[in-house]
Amino acid sequence: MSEHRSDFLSVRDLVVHYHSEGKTVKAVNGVSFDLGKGETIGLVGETGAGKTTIAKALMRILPVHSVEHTEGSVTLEGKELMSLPEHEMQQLRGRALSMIFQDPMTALNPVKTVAEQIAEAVRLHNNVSRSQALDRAKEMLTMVGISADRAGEYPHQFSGGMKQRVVIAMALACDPQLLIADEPTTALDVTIQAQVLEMINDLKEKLSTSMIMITHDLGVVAETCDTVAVTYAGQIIEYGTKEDIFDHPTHPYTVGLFNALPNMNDNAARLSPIDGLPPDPTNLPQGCAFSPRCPYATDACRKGVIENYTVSGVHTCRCIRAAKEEV
Amino acid sequence: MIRYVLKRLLLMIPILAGVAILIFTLMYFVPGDPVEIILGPAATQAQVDTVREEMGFNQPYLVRLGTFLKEILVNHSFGNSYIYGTSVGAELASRFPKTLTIAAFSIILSTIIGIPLGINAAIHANKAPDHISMFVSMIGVSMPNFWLALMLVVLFALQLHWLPSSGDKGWNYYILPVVANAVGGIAGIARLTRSSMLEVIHADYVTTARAKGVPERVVIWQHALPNALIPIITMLGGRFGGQLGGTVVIEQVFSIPGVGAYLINAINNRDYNAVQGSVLYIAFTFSVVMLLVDLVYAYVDPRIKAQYEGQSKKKRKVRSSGKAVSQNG
Repeated sequence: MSEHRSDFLSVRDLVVHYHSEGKTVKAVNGVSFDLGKGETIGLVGETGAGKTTIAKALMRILPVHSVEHTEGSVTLEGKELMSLPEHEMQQLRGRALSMIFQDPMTALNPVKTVAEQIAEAVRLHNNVSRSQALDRAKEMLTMVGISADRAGEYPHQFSGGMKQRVVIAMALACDPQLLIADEPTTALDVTIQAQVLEMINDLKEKLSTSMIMITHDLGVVAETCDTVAVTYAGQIIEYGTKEDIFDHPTHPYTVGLFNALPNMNDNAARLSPIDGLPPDPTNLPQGCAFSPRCPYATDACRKGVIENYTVSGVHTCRCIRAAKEEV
Repeated sequence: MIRYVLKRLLLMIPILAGVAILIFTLMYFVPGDPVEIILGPAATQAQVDTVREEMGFNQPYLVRLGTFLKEILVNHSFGNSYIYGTSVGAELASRFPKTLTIAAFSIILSTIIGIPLGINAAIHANKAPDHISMFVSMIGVSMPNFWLALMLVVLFALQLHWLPSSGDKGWNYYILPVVANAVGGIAGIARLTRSSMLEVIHADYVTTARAKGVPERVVIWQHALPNALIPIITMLGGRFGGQLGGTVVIEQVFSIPGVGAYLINAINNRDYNAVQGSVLYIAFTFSVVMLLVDLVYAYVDPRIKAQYEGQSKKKRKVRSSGKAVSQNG
């Protein structure tokens, strides 16, 4: 695990535990991945798999009051983020790495104009005057397809899709090197989703930004990502290039995810969901966290630590079947 | 916005008219009248009857109400006090600045101490600083202000001789009354600020601000606090409006001739004109303060401002569509 494939972003053994009502919530349990410059990784998984927590841990904006324990290492361009003093981290946030939040309805401050909210980030990270920052904000709004004369309006005057564009404009205002997009399209209807994804792709190419795309939508992954990390119960259970994952899904959970998608070609009356529910993060099962729902689970799955097996090239899978089948 | 203010000002007319009629009626039905108090216990029934007749207290309800309203509308006067013989309006005007001084400084003190205390408690929620400030403010809320006022007098006036104990001969006479009056407010505002801040401090937009790299102090004061202000403004406005009507206990303890002391004496003496004048004055100042509070809401929260503007816009639309209908018909 110590080799650094990429010199841009490298996450090693990230662990985040929350406390809630006296119990420990094991949200993220040893996540490691790398990301090259200009690349996009998709973090895919069900609600509660720890995707957003991973993102917030990278930004170091986890809710202080409920975090019990974090460990691991995050290096961005050789700089270790986890041990950085808060004021230095503050200077990186919004400039080196920034985040598009999940829910545009609540991510904008209702009492500030959208231009002010975008300009604030610009002023914090660049030595510019107030009016220059506002000009930049208007430029960003135009870039995401909002007319500059709406700059002085408040979030409540915008529709959901436009709010999401504002959130995106805000995240991109300082040309971040790493953009974390936390389900940027989940709150939007399908027509707007396509527009927003296209826009993110365009901007990414224009600014050669690296991106972490968090989603539970495999369609979004297909459209935007180079590599995919499937997360389950706070672990990456399968990792590979988009082609690896889409063409050769190996982990029974990944296979289940694809089976749960509606297929236009076969006329199945019902979808085939994955039976059962994600495990309780306060009480994770022994061994493989997916074993209670896995049709192939054996006694060996229910004890010990399941290792990460290489399937082929960069394609890895945390399942003992992968070891038996492929090695 | 101007339309909204005009509408609110016009609305004050029926409110004040209602208050005037109500307070007159209440005083009419309250047993006892100023004559017995003016003449004292030694007066004979015949004397009392004569004076009563002279002062017009034997006239029917509607006649007296009419005289009262005419006096206000035509002569812009509340009449003279039966007890002191002075003009009620002039008396209120001379007492108002004293009450305003106490009320305004109490509110300022509550704001500049209460809000930071509450924010500090919210930031450190469920940790030592929170527990300490909430414990202290619990004492502040539950302590009766007359008792606190007396304790302050004992300490700072009688023991230390730093400040005068009563009267209003200079600015230093107001320090103890303002402090005694403000403590409850400080504690109340601190507790309200804490709970209001706790509601917004974990909001997504606060996290967004952090994710932009905004320093924590700015996150709290510029992103979280403005969103937590509405209930705080409501409470401050309510307290201010109430205190402009007189801080009765404080005025009594420190012998400050304010509006509250005047009203209490007037009620005890059945001094009809003084009571009616004071109550109308209180209704007026309270309405004005509430209007100011609503305007501050609009300043703080653009959504509320949009509502105010929307109301008048909607009306205009209805009117124009009404016109269209009548043209069609």
